[in-house]
Amino acid sequence: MDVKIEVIGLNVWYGELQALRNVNLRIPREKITAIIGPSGCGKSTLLKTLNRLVELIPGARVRGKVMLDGIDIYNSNIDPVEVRRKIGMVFQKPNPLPKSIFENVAFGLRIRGIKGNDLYRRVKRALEIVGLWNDVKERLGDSAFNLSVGQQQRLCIARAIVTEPEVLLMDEPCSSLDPITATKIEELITSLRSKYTVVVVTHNMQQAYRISNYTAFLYMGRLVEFGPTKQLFESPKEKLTKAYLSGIFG
Amino acid sequence: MRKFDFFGNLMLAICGFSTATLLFIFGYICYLLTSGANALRPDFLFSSILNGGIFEPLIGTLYLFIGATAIVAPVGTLAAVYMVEYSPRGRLTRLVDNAINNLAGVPSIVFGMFGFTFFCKLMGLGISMLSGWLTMACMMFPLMIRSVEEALKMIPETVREASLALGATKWQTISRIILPSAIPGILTSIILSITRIAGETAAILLTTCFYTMRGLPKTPLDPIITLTYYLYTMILFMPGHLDLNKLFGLALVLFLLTTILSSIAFVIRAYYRRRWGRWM
Repeated sequence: MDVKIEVIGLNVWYGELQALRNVNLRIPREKITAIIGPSGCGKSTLLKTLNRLVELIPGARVRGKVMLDGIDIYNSNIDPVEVRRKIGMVFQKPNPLPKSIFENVAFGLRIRGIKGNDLYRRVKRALEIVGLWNDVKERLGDSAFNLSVGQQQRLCIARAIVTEPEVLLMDEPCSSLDPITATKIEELITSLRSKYTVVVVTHNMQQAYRISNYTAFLYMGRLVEFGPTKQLFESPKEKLTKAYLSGIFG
Repeated sequence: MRKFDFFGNLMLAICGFSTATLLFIFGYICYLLTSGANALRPDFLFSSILNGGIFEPLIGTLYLFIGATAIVAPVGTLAAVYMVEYSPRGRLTRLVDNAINNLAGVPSIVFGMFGFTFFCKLMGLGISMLSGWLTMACMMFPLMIRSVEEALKMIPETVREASLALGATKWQTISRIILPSAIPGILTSIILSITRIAGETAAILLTTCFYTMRGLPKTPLDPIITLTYYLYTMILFMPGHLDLNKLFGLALVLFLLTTILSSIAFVIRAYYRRRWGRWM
């Protein structure tokens, strides 16, 4: 297995509350890895430690290592901004910036100093990939808030992939969408597999089964089981995984 | 038979009476102001005090709020950005927060005294427009900081997260996302500060104005005369020959000035809210 991100002995606290307990995980390159588990098990926390966004939460403390291509991103001489430039993120609720549709996608490029024709070309390409270009090409200057929720989420995905990050983190990207839009987004995520290392947090086990190559099951801040999705769903090794998958809790 | 509800009827009477009193007062103010309407002629607005006009006070008021705003707007905005985006949430921040709140409640004459002793005397700026600008700026800081802070806090945390997750630095996030989103809030605070400055008398009295007319200021170190101060001197020093039309004309100009400014603030906010919706 070609490892892109290796999580080693990761512990995260929010004040007194320990959200992650000694998590060890190897996320494969250019595959989709799903993180599943009941609410409050630390799925989102784990995702946010991968791009150091967890540091923005007041009172959060991180111990352990997250190796991105063999380099610990929590090393004191690593700039979190550099880490986040390599790792794109899509949030649970679509969170467009208070800017126009075009500028939302262009923002990530602009802060990297990309201008002019190149900028336009790349924004267009990203909007085409997420299937939004034909809907918005006539009104690129409109506020992004005028889009429907599903369109906003696709815009957020376009914004995340336009800079061609190495890793794409997705925190329940379909949970605020209707089933039809959710299906479209799922197809989109699957199509991104060949190019990106995708880590997707999901509450929805069917979704994890449909779209992911590998699955990690998290429970009460501990990693219970990790393996190829088919294997984890069809013949789980741990009792806890089996119980969760059969709907006994969660 | 229904029982007579004495308490309920008493409260109704008291509330009704309070409202009627307010309506009466408001109506009377409107009546007084309309009696100044015939003073709203160009030759009243644009001729010198010496010819019975209010040109110098009008220009003085404009100068005063342009200068004071030029100081208070940028400094107040930056201070608010520091307070909301950078300062750690701790005891010191709470102390500063409280100090700002208390400062906002200090009577303006106290700011006038401070301005007189500090800017006019200690710094040797004398009774001048510059002293007035600085004193007014000090007076407006708490209000400016507070309202810009409110505008910044209205921007949801998810927007900051989105920007930082894209690899923007903190300053890029603030300068390209947070501040532009807060512009309507900032503009509103600026205009409301201007309204307060335009209507201020006590602090001006001690730092900026001379009774004797010296014409328009040539440098910031010259004194000015403002609408409020002129109104005050007319009432105080010319009781024998009060020209009521002129007095109410002046009051009406002041009233319109502040009302127009507040309306502009309202329109700006409404425009941005329609365009960007949500938290603006």
